[in-house]
Amino acid sequence: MSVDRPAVEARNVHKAYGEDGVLDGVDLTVAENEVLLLMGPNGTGKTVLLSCLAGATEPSDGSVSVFGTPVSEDGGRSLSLLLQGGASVDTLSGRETAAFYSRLHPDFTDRWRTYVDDLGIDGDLDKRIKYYSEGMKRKLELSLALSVDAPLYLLDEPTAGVDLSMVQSFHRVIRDRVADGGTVVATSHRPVDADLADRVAFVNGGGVLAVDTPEALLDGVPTVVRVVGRAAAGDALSPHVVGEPFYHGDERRGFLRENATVADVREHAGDATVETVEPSYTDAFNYYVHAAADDE
Amino acid sequence: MSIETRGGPPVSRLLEQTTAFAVRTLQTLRRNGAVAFWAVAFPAMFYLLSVYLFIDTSGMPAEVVSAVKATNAVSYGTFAALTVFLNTFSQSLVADVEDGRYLQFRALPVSPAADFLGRFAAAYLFAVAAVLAVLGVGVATGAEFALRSAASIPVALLGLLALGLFAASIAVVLVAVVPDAKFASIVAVSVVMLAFFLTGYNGIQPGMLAGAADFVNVVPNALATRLAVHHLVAAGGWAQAGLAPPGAPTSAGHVALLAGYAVAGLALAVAATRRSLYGGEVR
Repeated sequence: MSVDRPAVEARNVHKAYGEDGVLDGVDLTVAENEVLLLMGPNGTGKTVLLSCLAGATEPSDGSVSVFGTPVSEDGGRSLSLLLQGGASVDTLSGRETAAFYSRLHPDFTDRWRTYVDDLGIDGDLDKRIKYYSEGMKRKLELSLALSVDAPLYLLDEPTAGVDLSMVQSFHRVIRDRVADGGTVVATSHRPVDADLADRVAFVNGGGVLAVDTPEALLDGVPTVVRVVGRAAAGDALSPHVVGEPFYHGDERRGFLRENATVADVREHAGDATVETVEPSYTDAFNYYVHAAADDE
Repeated sequence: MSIETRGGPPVSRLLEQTTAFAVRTLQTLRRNGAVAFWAVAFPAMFYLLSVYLFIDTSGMPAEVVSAVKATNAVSYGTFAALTVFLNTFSQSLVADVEDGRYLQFRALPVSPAADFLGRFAAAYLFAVAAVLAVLGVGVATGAEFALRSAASIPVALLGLLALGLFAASIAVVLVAVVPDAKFASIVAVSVVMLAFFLTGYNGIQPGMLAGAADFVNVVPNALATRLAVHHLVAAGGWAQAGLAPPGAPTSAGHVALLAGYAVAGLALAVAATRRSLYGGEVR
């Protein structure tokens, strides 16, 4: 791994469409051979950021380089980009789509045959894509994106629309590229994808809110308290937590303020169950994206 | 695991990528019923309406009737080809823009020239098929064609190529300016219709034009049509058949003009593809 030459270096990246600013000064460095997961709510510019990193979208300001070369000069030689729906044409079959991209990219390999087999769509390759489910489209597109022999893979929500039983299979094929020395930057808003990451960056349109290893990010989450059993239990949480309480299934959760205790919450919770729990990736997502700003 | 690496010299990569776009475009076009209707059925229907309802052939000698039908078939064949080069071509591009595939293409080491040339090659094959279909309807209804020389078919095809490159370049610019499927289609079809009517049915009825009609030997759709008529139809006297004045566009200057349209169209199309679709962010 080279410290001097990161796989990706984005500096002060801005992107606006007319009056609408999508990215507002994003700084990001990705080391070679690491997996960085960009997590953030829908509509906060994760795809636009990934497109800027890939050279598919020109930033309004700032710079992006891949392996030390401005991405605009790289011409797509060092990377492979997966965009949701970006590769599929409804009237083509999966096999025809693969044939198209195999001719398009000089470093396309036949790995896609193994991947579609691993992901369980090898029997559907002759169907037109309009008959594919969203999950099947993701499987095909991920297989094609990872079949390019590139040192950098930029994957936009690779597990979107994929049922949980298949997520590990997706992670496995992505790790296959990392094992061969590849670097991966992926976006997601599914906490389960954090299992894949060496580092997680929580982002919103304003930039990167927090970036660290998953363990360090979990360690940085304040005590998580949950309230179960009363519809109005959120009222008991509100005065004692950072930001707003949030739903986690049927329960309400919040992050205890520094000077608050579980006993303070119980005092106002009536017969509801109040207890602390180990923070999950969902909790970390909610904390860094929605609450951390109020904790400063 | 074998690697299907397609590196190598830029020319072979250009050919590979051109083939990729050509094959994909043909695959999508042949599965699109609307394309077949607008590019084949609509011009053929227009031809039938013309020769059976709009043109009174009752007083014409039989050989003139067959020549008139052949001339009209060539005219509507050009109409069909223009529909392919303008409407079908722009719809193929705008579909990729609207579905976000140009974001994907811009992140690939794709040559914009290969993109245009591949799509154009497919459109050209499709246009030739559409022209042949309309000429076939013409033959079935009594149109008679006669080759002027062994070079007649290649000349007609080259005329179609020049017209196609010019029209496709307009389609690329259109998509860059109007990247919306519905509006692009409205504009493209309008341009086809205007080109058809404002040039006296692609140049075969210069007499219907109010002013001087010399320009029908200049504008690309009429020039290509009249050159094809000259080579494919035994029209006898051009004045008798309503094709003159002006006379047939057979001079070296006319051929040079067509070549100029082809070169200018190709240059504009590749530049617009590079600048707007690959260099810019058409959304």
